[in-house]
Amino acid sequence: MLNTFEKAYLSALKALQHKDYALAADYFKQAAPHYKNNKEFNLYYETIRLLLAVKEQLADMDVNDDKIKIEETFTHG
Amino acid sequence: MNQVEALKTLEGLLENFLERVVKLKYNQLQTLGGINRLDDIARRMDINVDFTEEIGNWFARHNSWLEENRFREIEENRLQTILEEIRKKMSDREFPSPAENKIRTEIDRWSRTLKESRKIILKKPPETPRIPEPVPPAPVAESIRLDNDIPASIARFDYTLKRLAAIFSEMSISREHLLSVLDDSLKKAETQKNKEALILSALIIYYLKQDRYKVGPYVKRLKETERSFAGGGKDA
Repeated sequence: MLNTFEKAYLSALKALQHKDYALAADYFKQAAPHYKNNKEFNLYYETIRLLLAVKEQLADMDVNDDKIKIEETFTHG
Repeated sequence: MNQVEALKTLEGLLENFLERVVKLKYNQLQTLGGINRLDDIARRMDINVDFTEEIGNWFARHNSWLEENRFREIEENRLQTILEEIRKKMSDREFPSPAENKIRTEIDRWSRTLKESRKIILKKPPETPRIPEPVPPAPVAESIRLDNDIPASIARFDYTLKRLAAIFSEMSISREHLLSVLDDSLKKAETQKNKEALILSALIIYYLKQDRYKVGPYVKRLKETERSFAGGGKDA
């Protein structure tokens, strides 16, 4: 029977199929103790983590782009 | 390329890679998903609840998998374990319904097919007698076509090699081991004073010696036969 770690890995792959990367990362995290020596598993997990970090960084940049910079200028007199 | 563009390129690359991973593992994912669903059913099975419809639907939905022989060994073992678990839980019921009997039959069929898919069947074609190449006539110097470009000694040796190959092919038909062929060859050399058999024997002995066989007794026989040749024997 599938143990909870295997079920988590399976759910992670399903989440990947639906491009729900945050959910996939959660499931990968749950499955990680069982697969810590599995190179394939680690590659996918690290790729998802990197992807999430990139997305987060891009989101931060978008927020910064939305900020309006206001500069006060003083005219003579 | 600015930082945003670089990050977007990386994002695209990573997403593309993960898409490919899913595509690559799609079948495996489906199979695991199917096994997982059956596992869930088996865990939820209770003596007071009728699960025959749910299990029957699972069999109907995944029947093609059995024909496709898509399970890996580990998956087959898991499936067998789950099927046994279901069978065990069903056998606890005192009066099985026709639907339960049908499920049992289906479990038997799956178990049987899964076991059979693990067997390795080696098929051997029907035995046909080996027909040896006809042995060319003995190498008489006059019968060898001498090419102007090839010295006669080389042409004769080439011809002898071909004859040795044909003699060997004929001798080895019903033999299980090269040593038996060597024995036959030596006998032929001894009894018929056959020089080709003598050369063939020497060749086999040398070959076997390279493979670290104990060839001492055969060398002795070869030398004795060789001496008898020196005493005025004639080629057969």
